[in-house]
Amino acid sequence: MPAVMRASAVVEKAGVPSVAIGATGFDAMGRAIGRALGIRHVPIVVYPGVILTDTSETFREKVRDFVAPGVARALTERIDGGPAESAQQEPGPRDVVVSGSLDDIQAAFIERQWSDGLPIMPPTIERVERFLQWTDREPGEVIGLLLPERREATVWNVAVNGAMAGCRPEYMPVLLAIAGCLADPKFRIEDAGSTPGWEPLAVLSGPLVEELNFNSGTGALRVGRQANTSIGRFVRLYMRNVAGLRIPPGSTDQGAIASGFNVVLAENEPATSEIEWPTYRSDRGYRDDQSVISLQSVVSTSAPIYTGGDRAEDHLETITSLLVNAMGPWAYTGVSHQAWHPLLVMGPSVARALAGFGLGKDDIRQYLYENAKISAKEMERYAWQVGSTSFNLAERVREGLIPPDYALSEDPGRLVRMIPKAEWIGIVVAGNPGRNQSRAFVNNHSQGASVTRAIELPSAWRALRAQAGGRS
Amino acid sequence: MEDRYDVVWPLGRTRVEEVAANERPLDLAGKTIGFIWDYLFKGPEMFEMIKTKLSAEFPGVRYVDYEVFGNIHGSDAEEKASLSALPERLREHGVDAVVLAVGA
Repeated sequence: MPAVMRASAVVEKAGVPSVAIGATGFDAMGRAIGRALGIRHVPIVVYPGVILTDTSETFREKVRDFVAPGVARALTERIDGGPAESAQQEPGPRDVVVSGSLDDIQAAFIERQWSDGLPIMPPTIERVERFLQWTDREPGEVIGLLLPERREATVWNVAVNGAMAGCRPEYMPVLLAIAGCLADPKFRIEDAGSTPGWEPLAVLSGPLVEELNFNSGTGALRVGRQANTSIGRFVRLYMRNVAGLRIPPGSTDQGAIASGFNVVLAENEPATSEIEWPTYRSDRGYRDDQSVISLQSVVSTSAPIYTGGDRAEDHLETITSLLVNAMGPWAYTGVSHQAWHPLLVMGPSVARALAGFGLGKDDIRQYLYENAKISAKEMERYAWQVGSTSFNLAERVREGLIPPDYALSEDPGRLVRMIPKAEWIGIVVAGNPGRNQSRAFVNNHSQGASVTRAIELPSAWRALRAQAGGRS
Repeated sequence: MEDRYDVVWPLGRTRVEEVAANERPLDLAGKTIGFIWDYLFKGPEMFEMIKTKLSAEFPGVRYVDYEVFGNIHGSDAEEKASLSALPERLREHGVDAVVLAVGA
């Protein structure tokens, strides 16, 4: 629905009236997006039901009886432009919006859909100002506009949501870097309410892992450590409040089943350096004295990947097998969108073993790129079931949209690559050092593509840390 | 005595640029309708049935098919190219109104 509404906005701006078609449940999402894009007048004709679970006959009946007459009406009816909702009615940053006890605040925030359902720390001006001490940036600075509600992401509301999520004030530089990632057009937050229900995963690499007491070892992605957990919670809370992505009674998050927020994944730097592998931030073009945060979508996770053996292949074959299972035919979306960012989180002992066989990260990427394959038939059949009813590998090759090796024969059983480019595979060393486990995380093609920001520390960082007694 | 809190708003100001509503044609007879597709959910089948309905009601109505406008939900590059070319394509083909589908 978001893509349809974005295109509708372009059409309307070009001076041409338009009508959008959406299935049941998506009309409310379309209207919300339409409001944010300034085209709330665009009529949305509803297909009643779920297109792909209706038989072909039912589909035709519904189009004939509901959609086609609805389009004919919508194209010729006068529409109500109505008065625009005024942005001036919204509170200013320092306006007090609720006063009361802790319970009053929780109740009001839940009722107004400003909470994620967990208790929040009350964002008083004093608390917010404590966060602002940890940045040199002005509170009113606009970091970007976050769709679907097209709200301003500001230094101020980063601090507000960080406070609510239970972050410590000194996490502020990390929170600002995350907001920068969310506002990066490459991340496509406008599609974060899509039905696959992807969830961002923040990856932290650099000296701040140790300094702010992140967990990069056993249970690296378990809730339980304040830094990893509260910042992970902040990501989802910020998307909910500032981007406006809300599950029902909201309408802009249509994740069909989706998943909860991810805690921050912190890189195990000592384990990475010990085997002389480049750090994650170095892989992404940053200096090792910097701390950086990367954000990418995660739409599925592999089973735990236990590996061992006397040869590198013993590890790599198993990693490939479980990565292939995690991606499954969903990999068609990466081929179709030419964007795919699988992330392999490798246990320190596995990384050490592979390094001992003389392998670096690029060797592992290359192996996965060459060996992660699936049949063309499975990819195309699944694509249709997802809704990409015109997806066909041979046609996409003919149109020059994907490389020729996806259609080397007409055999539907031919195996095709699941990962379009080796360099798109991320590798981070983390997890239980006493076990031989890795895990793969699959992203949602161009939606939630991996983006990175360097974390900017305030000029008084050292003094502030000393004042705080260096605790985190 | 329970602590009391005065708290601030966690959202950000909306920046909506209103687009003026375009006049709808009251009669589609002799008009040109463009179909724009996100390449999802049986769009072409749906468009054909909509054409049948419109042609039955409005004599001389003409159509510009989705292929002319490209995929509005493909790769980043494809989507960007399709959207930036849209105004020109609409002008080129004299499109009077557009049907966009399929949101789900």
